[in-house]
Amino acid sequence: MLTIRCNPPSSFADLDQIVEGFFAPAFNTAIPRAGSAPRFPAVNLWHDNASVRVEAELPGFKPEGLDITIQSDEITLRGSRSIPDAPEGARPIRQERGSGTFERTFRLPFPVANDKATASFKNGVLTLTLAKPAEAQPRKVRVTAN
Amino acid sequence: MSCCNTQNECRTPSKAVAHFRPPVDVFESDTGFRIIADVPGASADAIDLDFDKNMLTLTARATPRTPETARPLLAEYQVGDYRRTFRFDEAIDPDKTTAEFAAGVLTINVPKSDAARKRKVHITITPN
Repeated sequence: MLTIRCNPPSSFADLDQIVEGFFAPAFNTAIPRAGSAPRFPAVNLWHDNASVRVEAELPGFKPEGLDITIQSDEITLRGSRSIPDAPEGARPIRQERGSGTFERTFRLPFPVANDKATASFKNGVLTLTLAKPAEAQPRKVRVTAN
Repeated sequence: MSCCNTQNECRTPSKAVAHFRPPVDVFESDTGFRIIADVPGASADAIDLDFDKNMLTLTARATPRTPETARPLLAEYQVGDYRRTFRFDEAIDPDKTTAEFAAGVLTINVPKSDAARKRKVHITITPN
């Protein structure tokens, strides 16, 4: 028998949240439960002068199981993860990791060119790098004296 | 630390403990335990498994990935180290423990000690 220190008092209620998070459609249109339904995957977005980076943590996913669609200023991430069955002769003691499919769409403040997008997947982290259009890049205006 | 399993919740460390608690699946068989933990952003050489008697502490270091020159547009999670401790009520064999890491998922196989296995005696009664 294995027990876990700091055992959550409602671990199996949280499991429901994981499943709901995996299957929740984009923009949290799922009926919210008590508290707020988390979006999956959580996303971090940064930009600099020339590019935008999107990062999402997707442990256990495979690159071939991820689908990224870019349409103007809209990015859609889709993917699925399956959890293997219990090893033969073993019984589950704790099941906190979620499985299923997800789809998440978010909008950038400017359109991006999808032919200049690159994606990498390392240690369970998806990183998407997108080029900013010229009109979205900062421009310096030189002041000339008469 | 708050007890949490979903990604969003787990990525907000408590003020007292600056690490994250990875979600796990745990299986037990007659021969041992298998622990599967999601630790995205960590790498195989940044994971420590420390045994102390019947306790196993998993520590995985994940360094922030935000470029210095970048400006955030959306920040839904934080990046930091993972830590979680497991206590076994049966004798285990740390020396024979193995671990694999792939795509941000750590799989640990902790065998039970021979003594623990021998304590379980299966008796089959054959009918006369």
